[in-house]
Amino acid sequence: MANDNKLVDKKNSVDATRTAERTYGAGYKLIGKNYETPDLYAKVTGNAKYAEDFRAEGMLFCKLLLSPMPHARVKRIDAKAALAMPGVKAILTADDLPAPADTLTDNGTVIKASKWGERGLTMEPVYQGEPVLAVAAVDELTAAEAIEKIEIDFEPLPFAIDPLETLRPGGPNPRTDGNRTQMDQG
Amino acid sequence: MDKLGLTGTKLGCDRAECGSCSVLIDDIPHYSCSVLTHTVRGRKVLTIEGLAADDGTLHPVQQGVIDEQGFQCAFCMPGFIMTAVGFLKTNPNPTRLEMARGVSGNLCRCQDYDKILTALMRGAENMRRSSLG
Repeated sequence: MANDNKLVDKKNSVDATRTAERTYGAGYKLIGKNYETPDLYAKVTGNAKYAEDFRAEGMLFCKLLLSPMPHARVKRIDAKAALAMPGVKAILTADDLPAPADTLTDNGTVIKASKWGERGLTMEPVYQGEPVLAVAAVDELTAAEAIEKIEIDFEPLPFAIDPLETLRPGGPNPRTDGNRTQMDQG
Repeated sequence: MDKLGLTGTKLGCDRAECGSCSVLIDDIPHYSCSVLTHTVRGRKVLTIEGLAADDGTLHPVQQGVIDEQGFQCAFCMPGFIMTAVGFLKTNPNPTRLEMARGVSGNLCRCQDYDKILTALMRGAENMRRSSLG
């Protein structure tokens, strides 16, 4: 902080007669003072812009196709009808995303990439609602309609909703490579 | 309302659960996500943008939020404020519990309910003061 922001401001000590300041913030510049956050007025009047309130020229809208099953493998995707719709610009699947990469942390430790890690899209969803593909279109409704037009086949796979279930002999594995993540390999 | 450039009203769940989209229709709070446009033909719809006076003077409930630094991210704030304004028309002098019931159709994901109630109660107090002149 710059010198003019030093905590004890002698000029302000005149105000120190106020009880609150005598108790909590005598002579301080910030402690014991009311303040207004810079965005509060805009927020109470509805003028504050949140991410969804911004519009840009040529902006596209994205909708995700989510897994309807807690664990499944995507067998087939046919997006021809969706791509043929006017206003639909592109469809992304997991194949279009970069492979999961190792992470280098601030202190130099490397966290090994996990194929179950945080990827935007997947061909093997491991929870109901995991994004499988994304559609970009000129507006939200078109993107939503395109999602409906995508033909997709899921092969249901075993799943567990209680971790103890999967530990019992013959219990289901919630992932095709077992019942554990690879977090401990980092 | 987005088409009118009025983005103050927030669409949270789009299925009448969260209350973020609350507006006043003829002074009664409604979830705007679940009201068809043609049903409000000829009726008075008030959104958060229309609450302050033309000269920029805040509505007493808006001022209450400023006074108490209520809300965190404030995405739910327009809905809470509109519902509180509607509720205060029916009960201008509520207890904290009554106010909590009045806005019980509004959810805050930040779980900032305690401060929200403090802010809305201050708003109610501001309203009573302003009506006393």
